[in-house]
Amino acid sequence: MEMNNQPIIQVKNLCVDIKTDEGTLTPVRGVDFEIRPGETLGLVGESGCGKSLTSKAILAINQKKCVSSGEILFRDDKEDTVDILTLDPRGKQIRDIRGRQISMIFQEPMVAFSPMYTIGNQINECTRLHITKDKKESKRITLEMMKKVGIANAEKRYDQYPHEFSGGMLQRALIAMALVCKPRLLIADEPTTALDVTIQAQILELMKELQKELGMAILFITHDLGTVAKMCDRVAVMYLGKIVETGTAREIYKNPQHPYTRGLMGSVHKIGTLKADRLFSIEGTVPLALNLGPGCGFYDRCLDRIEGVCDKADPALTCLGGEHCVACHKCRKEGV
Amino acid sequence: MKRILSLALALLMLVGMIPMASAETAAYTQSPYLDGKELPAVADRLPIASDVMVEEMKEIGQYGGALTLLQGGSSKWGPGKPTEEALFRFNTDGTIEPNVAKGYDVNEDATVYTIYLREGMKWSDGVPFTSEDCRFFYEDLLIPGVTTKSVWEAMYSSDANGEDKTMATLEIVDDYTFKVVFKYPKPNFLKELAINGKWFFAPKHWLQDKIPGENYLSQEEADKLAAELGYSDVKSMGNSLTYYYWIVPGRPTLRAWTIQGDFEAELCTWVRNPYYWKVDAEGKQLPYIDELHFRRYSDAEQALLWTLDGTADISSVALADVETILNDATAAVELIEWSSVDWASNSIQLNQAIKDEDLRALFQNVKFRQALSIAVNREQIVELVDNGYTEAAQSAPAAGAQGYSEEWTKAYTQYDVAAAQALLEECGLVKGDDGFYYFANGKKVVLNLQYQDETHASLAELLKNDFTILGLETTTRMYDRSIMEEMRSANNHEVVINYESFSTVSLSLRPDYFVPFRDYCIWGTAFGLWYKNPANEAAVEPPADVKAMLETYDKMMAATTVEKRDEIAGELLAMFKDGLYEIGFSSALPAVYAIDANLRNFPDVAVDCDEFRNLGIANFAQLWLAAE
Amino acid sequence: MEASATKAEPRRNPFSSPMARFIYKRVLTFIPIMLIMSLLIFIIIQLPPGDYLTTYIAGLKAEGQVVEEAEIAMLKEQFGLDQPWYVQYFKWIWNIITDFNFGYSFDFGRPVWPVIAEVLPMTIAVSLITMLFGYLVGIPLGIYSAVRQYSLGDYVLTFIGFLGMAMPNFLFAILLMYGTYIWTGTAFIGLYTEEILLAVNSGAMQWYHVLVHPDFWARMTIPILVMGTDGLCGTLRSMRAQMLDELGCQYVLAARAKGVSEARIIYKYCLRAALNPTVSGLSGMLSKIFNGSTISAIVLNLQIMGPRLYDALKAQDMYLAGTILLVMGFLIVLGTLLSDIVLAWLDPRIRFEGRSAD
Repeated sequence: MEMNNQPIIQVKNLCVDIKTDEGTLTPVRGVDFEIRPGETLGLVGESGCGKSLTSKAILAINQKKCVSSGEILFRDDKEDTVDILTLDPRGKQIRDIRGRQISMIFQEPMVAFSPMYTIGNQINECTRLHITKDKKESKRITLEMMKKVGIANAEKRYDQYPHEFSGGMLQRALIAMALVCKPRLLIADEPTTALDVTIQAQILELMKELQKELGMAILFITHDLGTVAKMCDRVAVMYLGKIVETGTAREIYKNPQHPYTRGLMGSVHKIGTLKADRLFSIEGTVPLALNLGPGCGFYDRCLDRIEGVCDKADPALTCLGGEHCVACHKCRKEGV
Repeated sequence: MKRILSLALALLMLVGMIPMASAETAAYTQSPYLDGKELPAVADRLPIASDVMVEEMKEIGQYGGALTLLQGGSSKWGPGKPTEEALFRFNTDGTIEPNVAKGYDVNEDATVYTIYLREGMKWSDGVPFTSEDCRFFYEDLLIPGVTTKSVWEAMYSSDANGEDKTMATLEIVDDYTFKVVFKYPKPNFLKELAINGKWFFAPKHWLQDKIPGENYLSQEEADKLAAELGYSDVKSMGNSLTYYYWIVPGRPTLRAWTIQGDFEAELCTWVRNPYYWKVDAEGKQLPYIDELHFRRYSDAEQALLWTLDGTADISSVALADVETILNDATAAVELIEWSSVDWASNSIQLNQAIKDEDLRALFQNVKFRQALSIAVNREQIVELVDNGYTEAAQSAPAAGAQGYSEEWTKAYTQYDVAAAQALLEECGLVKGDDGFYYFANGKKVVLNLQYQDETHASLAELLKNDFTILGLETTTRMYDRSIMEEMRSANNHEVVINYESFSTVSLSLRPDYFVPFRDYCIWGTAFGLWYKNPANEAAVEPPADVKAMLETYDKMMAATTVEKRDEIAGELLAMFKDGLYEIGFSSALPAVYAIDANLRNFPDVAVDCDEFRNLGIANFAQLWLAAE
Repeated sequence: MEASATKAEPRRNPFSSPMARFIYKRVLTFIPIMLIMSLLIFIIIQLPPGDYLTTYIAGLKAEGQVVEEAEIAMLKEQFGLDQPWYVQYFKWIWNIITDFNFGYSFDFGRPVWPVIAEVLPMTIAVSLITMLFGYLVGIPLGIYSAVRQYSLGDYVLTFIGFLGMAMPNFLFAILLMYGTYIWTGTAFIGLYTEEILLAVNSGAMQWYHVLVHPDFWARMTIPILVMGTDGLCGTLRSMRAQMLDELGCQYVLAARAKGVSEARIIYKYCLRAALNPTVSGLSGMLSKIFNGSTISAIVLNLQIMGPRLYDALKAQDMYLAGTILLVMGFLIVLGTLLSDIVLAWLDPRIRFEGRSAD
């Protein structure tokens, strides 16, 4: 729990290409961000913008057909920096990192567990892989974690199968499995999307508690802006494989700069608007990441686009002040 | 003559040996296979010198080896026929000679036969074989029905009119002589015995505690024994121990080899009988070959493969496979052709007692049968069905058999559709507008060709084609063999292809499938029922020509001399010649055997028929395998 | 490992557990099923016209024997064929239930059970060996094919898989038999060479010597290839498809994210799920082991149960055929029960709560 403010993880120019018969897809086209110890970074964007691929690339668990390039610099528990993309995705080193130093929790807890084995067995697997081979000791640790995440009757639940758990309970179990080895970084890929609202709140509370206790960083991926507000310290907005805006949560909410971000903020239902008012939505859909032109990815849907500029060059992420950075020609021009 | 000479020689040698001390240096020798086994001396195992049988053969052979034969289904005759030893057996020329019996005398009117056995002859377990064993078989097994077979026709005699059928009686004269006494003359007794009687003895010493009867087991005891031995009942036990006895291990026989293992096994071994009662001219106790191996196969292709690679030492070969064997065999095999006694290799018989009245009148009309005969393109059949191995011919006895004539073989074999149609019209048929023939009453003539083996399908098609061209509507259909048999016994068959067709070595000795005196003939099943009992509902009264045939048959069976019998047989044959009861298309195919090139004394020329026990005529005891 | 019993039971009776109750109920249905099955079998065997006697007599006539009517009548009585079929059926069933007596085989002239028992060991041996071959080779190849999807190895295996399933067994058998003849000069007919057969007959060799004899295994390659490839190819295709399904599942991703090794993922997680259809196939396995393959066995001259049943049906040897079919039916019913139990053990989602769930 060092208060060393060096980032735990730095993603530099991460690109993920997928070769298909129609050509090469480029769902991630140069993503940069970093996460510091103890902080929560929210990664926001629509479905299809490349969030999942980015997060999976960090653990190197993308499918074989996804080719990653760039750098993912991770500072491990020995304070050594290792570029994850240089590691053999089947090798011992990355397996040592997975589950123990970087963990992941998934959107649908129902399918994240194998239906063939008990919950206890699967959580315990993590413990026995990374902490201790002693059966008794690892079970004790597992049970402790299960209790900590709020699973009542942990001893009994240990021997039960996933299909005997409710959704919320499963998500707790998933969190237990991810955190039992006390990782430095937790990647939460839309962890509450599949849960109902009351459970959502509980889970988020739990995550916050554990974060404080364990001092870990969280990469929180979501498309739900409400959750972002609650959970994240900083936010990165992603569109079509690139980060278009980053900043503290407050900055993004109060002062969104990028036309996409503004569109997103505008499309959230706010308390006070009349029922009869139509919800704002950005026109068009996310284009396919195939044979993309040289210009800004948001060009076709941008209401503030500048012809001749925005379609010629892809804007780079430039700082507007403090933590707030935007990738937009117009914003730069206006020099806010 | 030669036999007397060798006997004299043996006696001389024996006499000359007396000064010598060793009993072992008698004239006889045994196979090395038996050396070291605890057995009495060879001379003591054989019959006395005057009675031992000296086998005639091409070449004196050497001891040793195992002969491998193939066994396809569950027929026990596979090993049965080659090893059979009858009282009297057939020669390749059709005459009979003594075998188990030493000889016989017959009185003037052929009512009393005196059979002489061989003194000193023993069963395969060493117990002496005497006339009591013959009496035991006849009076205690055959007549009471223990064998589950009816008493053979050979044992009956009837008066000149064929009535008063009486069974023969036996009289024991001494241990090695007995008489068979008939009420009426029975000139062909021995030949009939050789064909239908097969054997006339059984080991009393072994069977007497296993069969039911007055002096033997009671019914309860027999039931108990049957259950113990694993038979379903006493009858099947009797059938197994006294009829199909050669496959029962341990049951004493007179055969050259005895079975050692399970008949159903993949490989069944038979080993030499140390008490076999034949020697060769040099005094070597037969058989030459030490063991018989029967290998079981489940598909005809396997039999062919085993012939090709030399596993089988003797195997029957289909003509179609001859080419393959000549080209592909890796082992040295020789192909031997024996002549067949089939009257034709492809033929049809019309059921003259067919239920349909119109068809019945038509089938009974000889002109119709003549029409069918000349409407068939025989050359096509020879080419397509027999691959050119046969010749166009009528159904007739083969060359060398009684009744053969070139004229008969060629009768009604010309291909003349116009003449055939003229004959059809003479039968009263009318040609319709569609080109097909109808009865006078307007009903269409339909011929249903029936066959029970898929290899006959092509023949059926060709015949259908020919008859359709002639103008008769024809159908063809294959039936399973047992269904065909059902149909036949229910008189539901119509025009039958290649099923129980005419085949015999002698019509006078085995007329069963020719003359409808029982319900066996295809062409007259229901006539046979009439012959037995005219009041039978299923019986059909035969037309005049068939009645005449039956009367002639009766006379033949009542003939008092062999000559008379053969003469009447000639009359019967003439009836068959004119009657076209079977319509044949191609000459008989020879039977081909593939034998190991090292096998000696196998007859090059012989007749392959059941009467001669097929392979049995080769006298297996005198076969031998030369060293490679 | 059972479903949660939230109501505490007053007495822990082992026979009241859901699995036990399930088995018990199933076993109770065995008896009516077997009775109905035996009746159907008997009726169907009798359906073709004629009976064993017609086959028998046809056979005798084919050998040139003369069979008198008196003899036929006596044989009919001897075989019990003069009674109506329901009487014959009832007698047969009654003997089975009270005495374990399955009747007599007309063809063999012996009681039915020894006729079956004598080919049973070799049938089981051949069936087990070919089946094991199918599974032991098919499962790993299927896994390989799935894990290395679209690789050259995958394409080759897929091709072999389809070829194996499409090729008729008997054709393959004939080709191999003829091929071995051309190649070695000896036809590989049957499982035993002459030496082995003679040695077994004389008692010099026991069955366990045969099983380790190299000649036996040389001969065994043909049945393994012919009869085993069917199972192998089916298993290969099934495993490949199932594995591909499983490998795409989220829990595989989650396990990988935990740091579990690839091998462990395949064998601990995917394999267990992928075995589901294979295990379902076990229901027919017992019966298949008992019967062996028929056509291939005839072509290869293997003395096993299949050809024996085939011959019995052809000859209408009804007690022998009926008994074999009855045993096969029983084994299928039993096999289904066993396969259900194994499936439940394999997949915890399947349990036996039934309607009386807690």
